[in-house]
Amino acid sequence: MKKLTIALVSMILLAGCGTRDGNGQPKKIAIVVSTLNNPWFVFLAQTAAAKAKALGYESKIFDSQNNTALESDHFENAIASGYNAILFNPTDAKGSVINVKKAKDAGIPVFCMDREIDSRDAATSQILSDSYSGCIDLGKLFVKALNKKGNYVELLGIVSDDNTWNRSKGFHSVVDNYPHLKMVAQQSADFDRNKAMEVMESILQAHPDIDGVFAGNDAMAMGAWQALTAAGLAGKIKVIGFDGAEDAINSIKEGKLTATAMQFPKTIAELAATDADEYFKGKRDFPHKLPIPVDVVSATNIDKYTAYGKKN
Amino acid sequence: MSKPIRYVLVAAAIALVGYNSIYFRKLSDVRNAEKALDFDAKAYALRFLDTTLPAHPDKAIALPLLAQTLTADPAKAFSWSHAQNNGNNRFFLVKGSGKLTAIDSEYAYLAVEGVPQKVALATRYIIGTAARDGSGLISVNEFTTTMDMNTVSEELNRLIRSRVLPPFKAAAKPGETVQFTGGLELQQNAAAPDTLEVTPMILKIQ
Repeated sequence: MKKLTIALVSMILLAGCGTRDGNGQPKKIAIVVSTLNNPWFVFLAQTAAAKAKALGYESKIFDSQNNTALESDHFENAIASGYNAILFNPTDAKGSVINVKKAKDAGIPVFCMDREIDSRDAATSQILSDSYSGCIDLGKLFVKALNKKGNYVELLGIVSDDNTWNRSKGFHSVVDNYPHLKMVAQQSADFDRNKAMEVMESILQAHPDIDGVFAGNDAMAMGAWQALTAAGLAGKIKVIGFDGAEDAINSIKEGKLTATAMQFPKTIAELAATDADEYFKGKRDFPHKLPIPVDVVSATNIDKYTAYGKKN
Repeated sequence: MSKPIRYVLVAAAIALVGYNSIYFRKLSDVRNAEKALDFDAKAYALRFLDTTLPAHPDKAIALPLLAQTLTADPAKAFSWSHAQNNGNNRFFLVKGSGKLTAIDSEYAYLAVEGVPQKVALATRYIIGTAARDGSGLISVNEFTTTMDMNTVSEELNRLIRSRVLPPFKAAAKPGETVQFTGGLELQQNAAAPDTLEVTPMILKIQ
């Protein structure tokens, strides 16, 4: 009887630590992403889901539609529905902290993907692209492409997102050293392609004499390219994005966009799912923040890259 | 209960609830309180450059040793490097001394014994994170946000431009011997370049 009890207790404990919950069902992982209106985040979410499945977990993707209230609802649902972990791409660096804390209080670990929350200890880990360093390299390329002089436009992402400012600051930490490079307009287009096209059209009315565009992501770079094409300026102006999205990679191949910075969403998503798996198995000492390197991709090395990553 | 007493009680209840529900604070007070909580990157950078770095001379690799090891055993050489991520760009804190051979608008060039490459001390464009990351003494995990850490990099570069370089540029002349400690960025998947560009953090003309 004693042996049977020990065996039963061991089985229950193992079930709690492994891939299955107390009822023998696979543990559930919620994947909450800022938006599914951008292919890059779709890839991030789907990769995380695929990795979770490969590790033996059930998962469900929640789209916050860049809305913190909706994101909050997703967290409430995930907590109430008994999810065991949350892989999280936040909508707002500051505003999302409260959601992560709620999950933490409920005993649910949260693993941030790509975007940061402004807290060191609310999330179990934060796996982030090193946007700042990537944009230092993009800034160097931009200076060279414009031969250290000219007028340029900067399109910012969502202003409450740390990635927006890490990218902008990294870029300016280089470009601002060159007095003959003049930023004639800096506007937010919320990481959105259509909005970027509208913003760029409006900027071109006031500043038709620009030489370069630095966009905080590829969607905005592509939107800017559309506006420049409509104005008959495409090809005359250097446009740089950030992400390594499929259309941007194709555009560089076709000689349109000048460069982008390749983030590695597959690495980020798979690491987050693996962290959750290791957490279930008892690991607790995760680095609070783990920056993932990004690579500059331009015509000189485009043959080594494909959408969202390196060629195998 | 008479009507006037009821009205007085209701009014008192509303006043009580209202008083506890609404409060006014000066916007400047709120902003100042937020500011006080803000991370002071400039103070951090000053402390790093003036105190932390001089207290850890062992963190700097002698440049001749690094140059020789880069040729003989690159994996060993890169084991002395640091970075905030595990990418191809790696950073070293290097030290050495050499004879000043030339000065142009962007660099002061040194000949360092035991270093086959030309050594260029950056004197105009202080760019990148070599000053922040070379020593390995600054880690992303000590900051609430990566923005704070990145601002430290900018402040360090600014301090180098405003404090380290002006006295050096005013006094340096070809032929003199310069003692230096600084950051060096190298790419792991590429051969060592012909010129090693050092971001100077401590400079002394001997």
